[in-house]
Amino acid sequence: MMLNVVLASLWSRRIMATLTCTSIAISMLVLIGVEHIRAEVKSNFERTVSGVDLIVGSRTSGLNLLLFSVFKIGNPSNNIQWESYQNIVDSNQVAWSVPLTMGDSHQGFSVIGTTGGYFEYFKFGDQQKITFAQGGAFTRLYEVVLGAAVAKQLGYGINQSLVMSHGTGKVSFTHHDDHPFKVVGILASTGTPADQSLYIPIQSIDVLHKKKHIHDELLSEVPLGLTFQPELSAFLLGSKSKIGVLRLQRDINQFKLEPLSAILPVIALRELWKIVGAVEISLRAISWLILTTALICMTTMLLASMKERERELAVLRALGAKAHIIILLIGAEAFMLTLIGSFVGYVLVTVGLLLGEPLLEQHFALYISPYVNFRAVCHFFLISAGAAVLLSFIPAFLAYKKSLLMGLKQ
Amino acid sequence: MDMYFLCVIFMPHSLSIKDLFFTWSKQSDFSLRIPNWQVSSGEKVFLYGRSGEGKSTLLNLICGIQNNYSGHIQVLGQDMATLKQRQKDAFRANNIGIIFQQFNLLPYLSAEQNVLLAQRFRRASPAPESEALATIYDRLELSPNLLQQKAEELSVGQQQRVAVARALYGAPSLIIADEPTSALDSQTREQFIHLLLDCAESSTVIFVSHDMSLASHFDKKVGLTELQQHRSDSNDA
Repeated sequence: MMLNVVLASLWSRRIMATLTCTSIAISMLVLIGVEHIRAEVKSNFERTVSGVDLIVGSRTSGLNLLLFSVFKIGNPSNNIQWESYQNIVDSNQVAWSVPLTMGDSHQGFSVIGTTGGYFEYFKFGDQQKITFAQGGAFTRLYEVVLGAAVAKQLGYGINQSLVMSHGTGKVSFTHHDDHPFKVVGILASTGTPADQSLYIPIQSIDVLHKKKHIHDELLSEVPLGLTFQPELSAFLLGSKSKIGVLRLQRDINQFKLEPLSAILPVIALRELWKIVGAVEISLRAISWLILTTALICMTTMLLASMKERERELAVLRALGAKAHIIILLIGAEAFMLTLIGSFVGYVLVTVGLLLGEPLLEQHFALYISPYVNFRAVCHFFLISAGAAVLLSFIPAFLAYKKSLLMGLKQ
Repeated sequence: MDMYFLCVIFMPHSLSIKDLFFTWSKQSDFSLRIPNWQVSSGEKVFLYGRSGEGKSTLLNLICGIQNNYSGHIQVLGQDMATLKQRQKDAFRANNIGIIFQQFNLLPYLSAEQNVLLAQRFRRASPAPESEALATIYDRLELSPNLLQQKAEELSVGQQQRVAVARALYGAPSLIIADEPTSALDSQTREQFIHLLLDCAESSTVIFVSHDMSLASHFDKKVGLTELQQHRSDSNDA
């Protein structure tokens, strides 16, 4: 019965209540949205690369190297000469190496020239290997392996024939259309930027750019002879021993033939996250501020409604309602408004992410799950509902005092 | 044994006030002093007084909403001073029906929900007898159609009738009406008083008004000034 009264009373003030609910919903949307995206980005972030001891590129900041080699953001400042690569890889510290060249694209997705070793050594998440959803690695010059997102978004299947474009823009005026590539493999989804790329044999990138026509051929065991001496954008290294990594890094950083940078991906990721982290903290602070504002707005609404509810409360008192009922009524109202608002905010975040996910994936290579983990955000609900109830004590206490002071007088 | 004896003695009185003194604060000009006033069980009393004389304060004291007085107030044999606030609230819910001047109802509930609300704060009592309720509705000419309407959609006269129905519901021993007719026109006013007194025949009624023309309907009329006057006389003596 009392719940009836609370609901009917709220319904009679529905415009005000809806507005209050909306403001709480929006602030909840921001709060949950920021928190969810932060958590997702962070976990994606940490998942992007593992099992790689060093990433080597031309002399540049560690951040830039990480961004272009792993996240496909930005460009290498310079290329690495083939001799340098050979020189370093020949060191007895190196267990394996995977060369990478970038700079071409297909429909806006980056094309990476590499070797079959990439599928072997590049790992993500918790040392997970990249697996093939269909087909397998390339074995011939004009074959291509697609990242999961590329295949999905462009609707490509095995044996599809594609043409690479020069440059990394979505619109390119130079197409390498005399060298169509055949899809031989599609990678399983990893939820990392690796899904967003096409992989072709490193030799063929060189061929594309030298504008020489070479007949399709099997890749030989030692694929990079004198004919193919591409310049590399970066390469990945695995060290024979964990201890050797730091020495190897120092050696590369002091490399004589040309200035190079070697980074430990784990440390570079952490550094990058620190930068993002500052933004994260301010975003969080802002969302808490927004929520505080919404709660204060709600308190204001409750206070404003007290004037018109004076009679209502006098009637209840006359009927024998204990004074605490008044506090309860107002507290329940605040609680319900906040809870409904929070829930609407939660639903809005989910709907928004469901609608926005493809866009985020396509344009920013951000893999955000649209399903917000309820347990991860339910503390927001509890905190805001608790704060709302506490704040509602202000109008409730004033109403209580007034109802005692005014007695039954109307 | 003593308590039982006292109860028996006071049983015939619905209300008994002795040496009541109340003031808002020490600085306040207003004070209410009633040396002696009894209302017998079943009596219909017309209490008149000018505005500001303390009628509402007196009612608040009787209903147990206003506290911090000196003296004795016994309602239906119960000494109000011995009750805690929440007990007073429960006592009020169980024994007193209150009708205001206006705005008796929660505007957003239906008329019927408003009537049933009275039951909400009573001590767990047997389920409301629908027959008794039907009789009340019938006598107050509250049609089922009207009862389903929202309180705010009713006319003032209809609202006051619903308020009477609520005050009568559960057959409280004491009904207190605080200027319930002041928002009504003179014709509806007469009708309203007849209805109220007819329906409340078994209860004690204290009807407060400043309109002396209504006094003729009641067994007894008492002026608040007289009640207070009584004090100075007895004090002087």
